[in-house]
Amino acid sequence: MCVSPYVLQTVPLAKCHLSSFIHDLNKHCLYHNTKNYYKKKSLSFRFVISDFPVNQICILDAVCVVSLVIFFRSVQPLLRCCQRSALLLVARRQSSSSSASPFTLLSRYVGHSDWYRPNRWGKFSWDFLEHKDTSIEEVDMSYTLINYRGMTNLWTQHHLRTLKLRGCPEVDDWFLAGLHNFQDTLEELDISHCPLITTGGLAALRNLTALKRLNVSSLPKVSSPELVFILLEEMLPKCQITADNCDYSLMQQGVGDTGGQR
Amino acid sequence: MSAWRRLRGALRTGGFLSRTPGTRRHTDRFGPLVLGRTLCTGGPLRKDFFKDLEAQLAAARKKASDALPGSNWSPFQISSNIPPETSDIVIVGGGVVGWSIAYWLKQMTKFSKGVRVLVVERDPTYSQASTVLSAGGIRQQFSLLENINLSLASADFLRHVNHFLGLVNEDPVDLQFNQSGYLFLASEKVAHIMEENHKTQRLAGASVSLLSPTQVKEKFPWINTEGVALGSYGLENEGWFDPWTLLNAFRRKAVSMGATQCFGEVTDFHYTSDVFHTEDGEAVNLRRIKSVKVQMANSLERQPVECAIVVNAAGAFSAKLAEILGVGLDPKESTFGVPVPVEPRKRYVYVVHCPDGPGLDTPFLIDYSGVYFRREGLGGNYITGVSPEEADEPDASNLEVDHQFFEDKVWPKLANRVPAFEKLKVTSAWAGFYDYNTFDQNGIIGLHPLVKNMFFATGFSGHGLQHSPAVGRAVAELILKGHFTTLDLSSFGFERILRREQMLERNIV
Repeated sequence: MCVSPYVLQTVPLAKCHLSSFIHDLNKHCLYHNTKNYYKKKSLSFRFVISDFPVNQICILDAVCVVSLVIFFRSVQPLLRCCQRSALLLVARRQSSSSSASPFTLLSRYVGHSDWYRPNRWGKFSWDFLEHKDTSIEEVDMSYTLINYRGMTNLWTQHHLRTLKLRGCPEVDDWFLAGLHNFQDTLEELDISHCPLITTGGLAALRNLTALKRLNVSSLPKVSSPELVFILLEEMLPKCQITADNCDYSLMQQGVGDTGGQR
Repeated sequence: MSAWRRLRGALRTGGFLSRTPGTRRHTDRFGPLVLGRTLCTGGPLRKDFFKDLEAQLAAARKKASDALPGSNWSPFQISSNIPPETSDIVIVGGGVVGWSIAYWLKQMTKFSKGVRVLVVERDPTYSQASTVLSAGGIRQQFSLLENINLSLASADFLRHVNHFLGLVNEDPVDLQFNQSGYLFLASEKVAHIMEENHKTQRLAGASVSLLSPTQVKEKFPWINTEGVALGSYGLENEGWFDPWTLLNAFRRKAVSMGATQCFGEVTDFHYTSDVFHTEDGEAVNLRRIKSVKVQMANSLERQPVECAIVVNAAGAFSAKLAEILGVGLDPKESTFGVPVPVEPRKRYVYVVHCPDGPGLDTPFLIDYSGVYFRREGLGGNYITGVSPEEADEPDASNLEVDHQFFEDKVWPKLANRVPAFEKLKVTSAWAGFYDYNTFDQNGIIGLHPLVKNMFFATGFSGHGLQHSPAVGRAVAELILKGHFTTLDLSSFGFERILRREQMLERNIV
């Protein structure tokens, strides 16, 4: 069983040519591993395009990060970066002249919002490379082995709004502390079913001031989920918190109205 | 000898069947349902009088034959826990720094020949050890670049603590790390120092942000920002954890890699001295430790351990240990006359309960007046304390808690900063020693210039625990390679004390 190193490729700004990018990827043995990798996991991407005519498109200055990993089954506890994970989602194009925040475009656009994912034969289309300058907006890495070191690659995405990390076995408290890099932009976070998260890690979410939706269902290591739910609601007043495994009857009896929707 | 023990065991419990090796093997393998016997689901403790009697008679026979001359029984037993007669490296002090050094020494010689490491700890209950009595925080908000780098390296270690200290058959290490940050509040007078420190911290790579008083109030509405000019808030790699777990993790891993533990006190050193004369004609006494005499606890047994290198990680009591060698005793001598400037300073920690206190996002708040507090658990409990002024240092001969100190020095400042704490109740308190470096409140790491083979790793003045993984690695590099490799801590050497050059840390709590 071969143990291949993981590959993390950061695509720099618009200056790089598509061909050299593919060449680099080739060097890191993309092709023969993609087959193995994508069979196991379906990736999903969300791609939002605003519906502007071509001559108004401006050049963006964001970075597209592509991380490809290669699955290895080593038992040895190497410092693993990001095994078996990768998905990214590409974001949006800003309009050339508007000074309005890019996020409001979402409500205005009528263009397509496709997710980039491999099709059912595991084949992954290369179309996302056309948009390698755009900044990523939503990432769905559920059930992947993303960990802190792999996450460091995403810190350059200054427009990240949604992060779905459902069921990730290597997302732990230190990972949540690292999310402070998205503190102004992250609006939705889903960390349900992550086995390593404890209450100490949830305290790290205090930095995410823009958070609007948080899902903390079924965190096995959190000892008293109902109490933690209440404390989280106090800590993040503007956020709507979902915790499916909590026994709400306890809360409603004792606490009166704690706000939020359940 | 074993006959005595077996007899005692039998008399104590009565149920004998479980103790004899033959039957125990049976039950271990097959459980309560044992092949070849009657179907008995009652468990292995069957009381069979005749079998007991036979065993007791056999034991009595063995006892009698031992008492006769010609047997090798002796009433003087050597205790099984004395240290070995030789060891390559003896680490005096079994706190977190000592065990961290032991772990790194074994880790770095894993694939080479390996060194024999012995860790000598005086108190098996760790009742006075600074490690376990610590508040357990880790922060990057220091003023010295070396301290910031030490904290960053230690945080990286703690992030991957199971990779370093995990054992295959054992439970993973759970430090119970709370990922809240530290919040330092500065008044007008010291705000410029905080800004300079912030620049250094950002340069080193720490995630710290400066907050204005309004931002502090916005983030933490329960703080009274009167008198606050600037706040410094750690975003990542800061928080608090359980020091006992870390100590045990280091110990377990080091022992699994072959380090030896011994509970005894180092009372004496055997050393050789060579006298050299400097250009000025001054006689310089170079000492080399040949062996360490370890006195076992509650016993008259002593074991001299021949060693090549001694590491002084005795924390608050390092100066006393060095005095045995003569360091600091002779005021006339220029170099040996300088004592190790580490002394125990008592610090009180009070556990208070306040139901209306701040919630999950409570940082480790440190006010410019010196008072600090942090959340403990989820039930509205907090840990608080203050570093006393130089003039009011409490007596460090014992660890008794002065509750009046809380009323006079802690509560007023605390209630001033956090109005919710006007109504609180002290539920518990304890006191612990800082291994306080009276010279400049920073660690002393390195060789003594005149004792050829004694390394120091002490004097951390309250931030030893948070730097312990990185310091352990640094000292191990120094011992094994002769120089620092990953982090350059040469400015923490003993030479600065001889040259009277202070490396002041301005952010000591």
